Amino acid sequence: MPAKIDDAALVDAAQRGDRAALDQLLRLHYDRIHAVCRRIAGATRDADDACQEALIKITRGLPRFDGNSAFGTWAYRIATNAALDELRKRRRRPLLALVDDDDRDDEPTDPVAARRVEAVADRLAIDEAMDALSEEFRVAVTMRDVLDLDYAEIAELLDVPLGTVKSRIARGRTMLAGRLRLDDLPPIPPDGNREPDSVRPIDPT
Amino acid sequence: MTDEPNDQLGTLASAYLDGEASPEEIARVEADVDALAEVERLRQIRALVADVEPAAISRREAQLSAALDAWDRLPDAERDGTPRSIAAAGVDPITAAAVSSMSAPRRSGRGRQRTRSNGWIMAAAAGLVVLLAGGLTLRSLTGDDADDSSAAVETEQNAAPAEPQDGESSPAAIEELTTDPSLEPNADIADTDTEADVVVDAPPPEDGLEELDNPDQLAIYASDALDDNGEVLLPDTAPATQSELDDASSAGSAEEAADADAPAADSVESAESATEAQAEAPAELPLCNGADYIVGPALYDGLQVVVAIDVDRDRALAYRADDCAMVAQVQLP
Repeated sequence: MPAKIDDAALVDAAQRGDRAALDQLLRLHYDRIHAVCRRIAGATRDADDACQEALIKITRGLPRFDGNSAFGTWAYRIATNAALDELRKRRRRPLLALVDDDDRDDEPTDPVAARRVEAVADRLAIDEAMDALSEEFRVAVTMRDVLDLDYAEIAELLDVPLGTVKSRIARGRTMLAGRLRLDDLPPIPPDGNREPDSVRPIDPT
Repeated sequence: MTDEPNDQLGTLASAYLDGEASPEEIARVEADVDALAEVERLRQIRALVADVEPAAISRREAQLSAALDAWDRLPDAERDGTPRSIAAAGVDPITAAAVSSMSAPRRSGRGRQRTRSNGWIMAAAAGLVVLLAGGLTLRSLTGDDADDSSAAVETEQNAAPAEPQDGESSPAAIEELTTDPSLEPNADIADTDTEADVVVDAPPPEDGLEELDNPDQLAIYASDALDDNGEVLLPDTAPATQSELDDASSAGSAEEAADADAPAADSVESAESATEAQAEAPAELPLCNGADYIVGPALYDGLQVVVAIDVDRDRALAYRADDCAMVAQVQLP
């Protein structure tokens, strides 16, 4: 996570008109802003639109940023709202049906290729699973697992009680696990982690 | 996994995983094999959620560049932390409001319901104050107490002759100005167009350029150039009057006109019939970034842009006229 002391100095410089400082500030936070938009708005162009919108709003709002909260917290809130806006807009639009080719039997023979395919499949699977979550769970899980915010910060950002944050994150993760078929996997070996590459999306039928 | 004991187990395991469990909860988790298994299961979920593919470098740079561009367009005073104000610009707000309300052409149909900036609303409201004051003055001069409302309306019609071109009554206009359209962001999707509605989307003159603050507004503005079937409206149904066309043309700057040829030539190959007809529309605005049809000039986040439609991708585009730099794009509704 970018150091807050650096943020403060950069914010101060940018607010005095230093364009390079603003550039550096945005670059420091770009990956997280993008990740938030990607996780909330989904694996679509909407995420790009949300990210662009968030960056412009952050830039335009920076002169009025009062520093009462960390710059990152403020910026991620803007990104979250931009992503939610895009998500809601998308839900008002008709969507094309997705083709589910999950039942293919052909397995790659090259182990390296197989691992890559599995990695891509995992990402697609988590995208689908996240997409199935309702907004409240999606946002809570994203703030925790992508932004690494603690429960108190999330509670403040969402303006909900701490217990609600705790419950939303737990239920969101549990729903993701169910959707990703982690329920069907064999028990965890006592000595180690199970690799996530065995994750498969649930067949909606 | 919706029954209560499993919910409790999940909540406990999740809090443990995040380091948010109390000492007592930690002890409970560590003494329970099932809870530990749940922790491991959720740990995998957390890893998957956190594993977001980074943006392509080109996309990242384009987005950062657009953000910095927005910064460059901010007034100096605002960049220094001084809030923007009309007074700082040395313009009397009442005068500006009155001029704005009388010179900006009215938009009808969907465009009328479109979200507008608060500044425009305030300007229009100030214009109304001026008009009402005029009405009171008129009444005091004539001594006519018979019908106050009609006198006021008549006064407004006299004061703003350019406005009710579409047969709209002034009281309706007053209602519009006092209603915050942002409360109904999607009202403009309702298909209540008349033929006149289609026409009037020739852009207003520069002083009254459509102000767009976000992609949603961009999509709505651009969608006004489409008919109910999503087809681009050809210019033979477009600007009703020559003066509107002239206004639209004057909105493009001289530098836009100078740069218009090259990008327009690029787009000719891929343009469809709508594009060809578009040549009769405001010709100074360049076609760039795969745009097939120009809706008109506008202000996006304070930046003067060309709003256009990419028919193939069904997207609204906003880009700068001088260098075709993309400012925003969005799927059409």
